[in-house]
Amino acid sequence: MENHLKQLRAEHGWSQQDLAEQLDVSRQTVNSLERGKYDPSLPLAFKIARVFARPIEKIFVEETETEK
Amino acid sequence: MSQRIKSANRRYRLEFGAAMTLYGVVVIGATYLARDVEPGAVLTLLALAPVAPIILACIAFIRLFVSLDERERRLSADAAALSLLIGIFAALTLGFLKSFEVFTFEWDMLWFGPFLIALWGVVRCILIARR
Repeated sequence: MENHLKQLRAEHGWSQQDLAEQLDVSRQTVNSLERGKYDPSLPLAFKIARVFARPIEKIFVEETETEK
Repeated sequence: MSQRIKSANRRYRLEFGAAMTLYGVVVIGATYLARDVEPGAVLTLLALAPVAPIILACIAFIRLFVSLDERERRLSADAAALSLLIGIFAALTLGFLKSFEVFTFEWDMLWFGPFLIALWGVVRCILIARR
């Protein structure tokens, strides 16, 4: 699943480590999320949405939508 | 890595290291004490003594596992499932080769656990590299 995590993180001026601290995950997990290698669980997706104060659908993009 | 995960890793290294040190001491001690002991309850206790530190090591790993984040838990669980499959395949293959007397070898169950753990570590590294 694609997402706008990297862009949002850059807008906030956070490092992957900073975001990892806020999400209580490892930096490697943030990296995997950003590269679309790992799809988060629903609770983690909600946590990410809360951290960036955006709705989930504004952060994560379904692959079928991006292919259009 | 979040501070919570960092401290969980630190705690695991301490607990696992202590358990393995204790294991070494108990194995050497039990082997030494068992030299002149006749078969019976005492020998059984000495034979089972090294299992106790292994239980401590297992508890340390479980404590680490539950403190990992969801992606790391998933990787570890996937690696465990694949290692179990490979382990069962290896055990059956060697078992049939032995039972058909294609070749004979000393069947030492002591090595199956460490083999599975090493296999799990290798499979986990491969999964991390692929994802």
